[in-house]
Amino acid sequence: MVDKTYLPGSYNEDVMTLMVQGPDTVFVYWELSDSHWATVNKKGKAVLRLYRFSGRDAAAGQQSPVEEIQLPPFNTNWYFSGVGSDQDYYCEVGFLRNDGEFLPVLRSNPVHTPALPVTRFELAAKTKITANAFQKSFSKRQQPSLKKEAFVMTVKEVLSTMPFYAGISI
Amino acid sequence: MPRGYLSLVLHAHLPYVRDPENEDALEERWLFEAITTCYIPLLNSMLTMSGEGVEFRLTISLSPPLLSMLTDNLLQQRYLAYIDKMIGLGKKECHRNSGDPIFLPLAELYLRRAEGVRDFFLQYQGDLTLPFKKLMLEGRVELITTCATHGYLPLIKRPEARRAQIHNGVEIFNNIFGKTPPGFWLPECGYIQGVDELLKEYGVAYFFVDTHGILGAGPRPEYGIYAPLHCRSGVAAFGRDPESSRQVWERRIGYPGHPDYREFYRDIGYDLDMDYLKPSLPGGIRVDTGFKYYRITGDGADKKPYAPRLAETRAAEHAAHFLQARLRQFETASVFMEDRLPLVVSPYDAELFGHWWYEGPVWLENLCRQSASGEGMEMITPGDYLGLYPENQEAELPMSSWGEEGYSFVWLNPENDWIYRHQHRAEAKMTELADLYPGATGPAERALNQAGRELLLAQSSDWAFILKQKTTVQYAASRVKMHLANFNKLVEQIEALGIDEQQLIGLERRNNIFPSIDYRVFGYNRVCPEIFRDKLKRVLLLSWEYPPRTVGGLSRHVYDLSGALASLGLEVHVLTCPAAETPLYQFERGVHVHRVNPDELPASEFLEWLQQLNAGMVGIAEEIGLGRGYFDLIHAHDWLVRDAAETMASGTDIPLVVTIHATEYGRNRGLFSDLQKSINSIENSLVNRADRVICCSSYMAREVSQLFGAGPDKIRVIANGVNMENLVIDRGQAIRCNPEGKGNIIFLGRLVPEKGLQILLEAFPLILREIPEACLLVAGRGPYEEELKQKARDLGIDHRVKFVGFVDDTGRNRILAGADLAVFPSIYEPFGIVALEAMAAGVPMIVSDTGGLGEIIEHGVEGYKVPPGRADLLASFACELLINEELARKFSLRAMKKVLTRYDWKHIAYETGRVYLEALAEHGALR
Repeated sequence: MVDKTYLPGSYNEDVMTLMVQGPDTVFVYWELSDSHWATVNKKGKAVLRLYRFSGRDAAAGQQSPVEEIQLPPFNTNWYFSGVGSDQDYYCEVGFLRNDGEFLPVLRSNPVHTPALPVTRFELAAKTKITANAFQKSFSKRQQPSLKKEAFVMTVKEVLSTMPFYAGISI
Repeated sequence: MPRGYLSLVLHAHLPYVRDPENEDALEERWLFEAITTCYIPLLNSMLTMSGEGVEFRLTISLSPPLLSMLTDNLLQQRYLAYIDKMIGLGKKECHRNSGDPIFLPLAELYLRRAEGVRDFFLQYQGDLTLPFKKLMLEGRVELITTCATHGYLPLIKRPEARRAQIHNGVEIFNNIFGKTPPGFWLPECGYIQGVDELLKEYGVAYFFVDTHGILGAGPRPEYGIYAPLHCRSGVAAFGRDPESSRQVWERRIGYPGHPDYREFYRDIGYDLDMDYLKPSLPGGIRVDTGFKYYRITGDGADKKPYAPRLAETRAAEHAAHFLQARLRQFETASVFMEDRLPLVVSPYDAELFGHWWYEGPVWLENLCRQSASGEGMEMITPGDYLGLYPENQEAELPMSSWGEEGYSFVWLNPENDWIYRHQHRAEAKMTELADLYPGATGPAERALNQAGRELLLAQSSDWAFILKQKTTVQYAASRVKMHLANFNKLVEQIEALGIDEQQLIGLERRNNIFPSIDYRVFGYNRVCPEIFRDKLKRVLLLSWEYPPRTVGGLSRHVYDLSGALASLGLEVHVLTCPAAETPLYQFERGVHVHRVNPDELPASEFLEWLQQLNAGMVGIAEEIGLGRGYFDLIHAHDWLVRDAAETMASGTDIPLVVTIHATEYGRNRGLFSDLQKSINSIENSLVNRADRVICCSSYMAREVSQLFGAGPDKIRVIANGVNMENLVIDRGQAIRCNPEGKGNIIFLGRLVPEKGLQILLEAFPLILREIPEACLLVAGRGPYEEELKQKARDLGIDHRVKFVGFVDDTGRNRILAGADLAVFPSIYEPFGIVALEAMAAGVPMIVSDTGGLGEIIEHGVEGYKVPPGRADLLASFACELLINEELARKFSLRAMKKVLTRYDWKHIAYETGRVYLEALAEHGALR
């Protein structure tokens, strides 16, 4: 049994993950492998950037940064608070060259911040309720061949095994 | 006739705590206390009511860690020891309080109850899943479960890891109760897009979200919180009712805070002398004993003695109050719910009832009895409601949870954010290993399974929660670290192919949850050929080109796909155009290839030729049995086979699946000529006619969606693949433009503007400045060749650029073998199979961040991506990879692993088969 509860400070891998804490806060952590980190330090100032997607089809890697952080040394995570809700974001870490050009060396996954919570119910316009194949299959009697799959049990089957329901009428 | 329904849901969960080596593990008491004060009292109450024929209905979620602990022999034994100690303490208490008119009756009551609990426990041989099952079979309780270790899904990064949580939860439930749970409790009601699709894979019909998870759905729910919504996948979501929650949960106004109820914090474990308590307590530490003699009384420290009968009266009153409030709610809801009855969903942590709120079970029993004997409210389960109302409003749900602030703040904040880099890395590693070693046996298999267990245990949301609440912080932190450290150790050994068996046995004994776990569930690749059985036998693939007739990637794609589908057991027939010196019919790799007779294609004009080709395909199809119902499905590739596809599909009424590899609009960045416009409308017609459309990248899916209006329910994204066998490279045969040195850059692809070679040429002078010995080898031909050669001359680099023309597979392999860097600077690229080939050959790579090409690798992980057109950035990154060999090697190794595990044709064929099954099911269901 492993007695010492030791987790490595780094795995010498290149990874950048952006996570959503809430509608207005995201958290990013990253790790640059040694050979990568050497590049960044040699070529310029280490910088972290947060980007927002400008539209549904906007391409990652071509958005303008929403925030830029000059990274203190050995820092490998960051909280961005006050970001917009119901928006898509991603991060990059890279170096700022002397001529002002930013070269990203690692990009995070995109995330979507949820909209601010809706807690009040307002009467909405009636929408058409459409049948959905999957839901239908739950209320229809299953085909014998499908019954062989142990994990499928229709609600009707569930109901029919319970004597409590005999005689329920709506 | 009820005026509304109540679904009261109890979610029972405790983190998995089992410490075989520690007799007095403090944290095991959480289980023992819950059994004593919560589960057994609830079970008792429910069984009593059931025996009397009281018609109540409850939904109870039993988490897999709890189920595992309840069925564990060691813990059952330890529980008996615990309850015996409590009975012993009870007797002492009776003695200590003898003669006291107030406290003696209380002590006697607690002693009687403890003895009753012990009797109940032994009545079921210590297995409390039995009484739950009894209640289920008697129709009183709908049992469901939750994730394997109550992992909080929104913060688990990969779908494979989420699936493993769901899978192992469902499996444990199935093993104990003999069926799939009809519903699922999402841990902390944590929902994020995609979770419902995973639940659907397991046949689960519903789950729960917090209030705002329903109210914030799009479109807005027309019945508010009083009816479920269903996701596009069909799985239903039930939202927590805030009113009924407040009445029970709210710290100040909620029922449990009433002055007549028992005060939790006045326990003799803290009040009395240690010497007296020592024999009954573990390791001499003050803990909760359950002997509490005071009631809440008020805010101050002055507490009056507990009066059980008064408290029970209060509980009955509160139950009536709760019921009345529900009836009022039904009145309000009925105003906007004309065609169905409202449902109030009230989920609570089970442990509230009896443990935190001592009178909880009494309140609950009163509620059940009053409801059953009354008229206005009927208790049902969400499953029942779906049986009554199977068709519900469809909506897209936002990400949400029932944690503080409604999202992920509780599990992701400065107290616990350190967990995730380790957890996510473990998740990725687990998937990678499952994909790399699907056939592991013996100790390697056991090690992989144990690694899966450790990962699941580390993902328990309880640890992050405890860290935030700052209660038993040490314990929680050490659990996370221990499991992840165990995981890392196992991974090291698996990768080094040397398992330490003694250590493995130790871990298996210690962390033994999920006895039949199969590590393969963590894999990205889940090939299961049995899915086709009885449903799908024979498919027709229509493709205008097929080897040896190869113009673009389409030919190769259909070739590889057909072979892979055949190897999964399908009978595959490909209809295609003729090729010189190739027989009209071939059977190879299990694929039937039918080529249209060239005699049927006399036309000299392209469109006419195409018409004849399509007619020829229809002819062949009819010959081989299309009209006689021989085929189950048609799969057409690109617009060129539209006529044949539509004729065949309409004539026979079998489903049609279409793959769009590229669009005319995308290729030309617009529609300028009449021909292009008519091709566009053919593509439109084909997409709209299809039951399912397959695209090779999310980029293409968006393009197809925008151009032709196909919705997300129709389009499926399945990446292209690469056949590793065709990329066998003999380094000795390598072709280099720089035979002696480094700096060998290559470009493979058609010489057309959309492939972007001109950008690479522009970047080249910049590269030469830093690396004078660099050279570029261009393999491919096309209409743009002369312009490109001229450009090289104009830039003064033509002496370092070699155009070698078209290369066959062998030539391509030799060029890849000699390359130090591959660059694919495309401007328009639906996918980019050639990039996969470079990855499979282990060549470091830079690609344009465009289209599907940009989806293949992650920037800075498997290679670099450059915005299309940016020659300067391309030059910078190219120089970096040519100079920093270590980094380049890292990238190419990761890229190779990715290709091996993610772009394997067998997996792609399986995913394609699943789309076929979807098309079949829908085609059949909606007829």
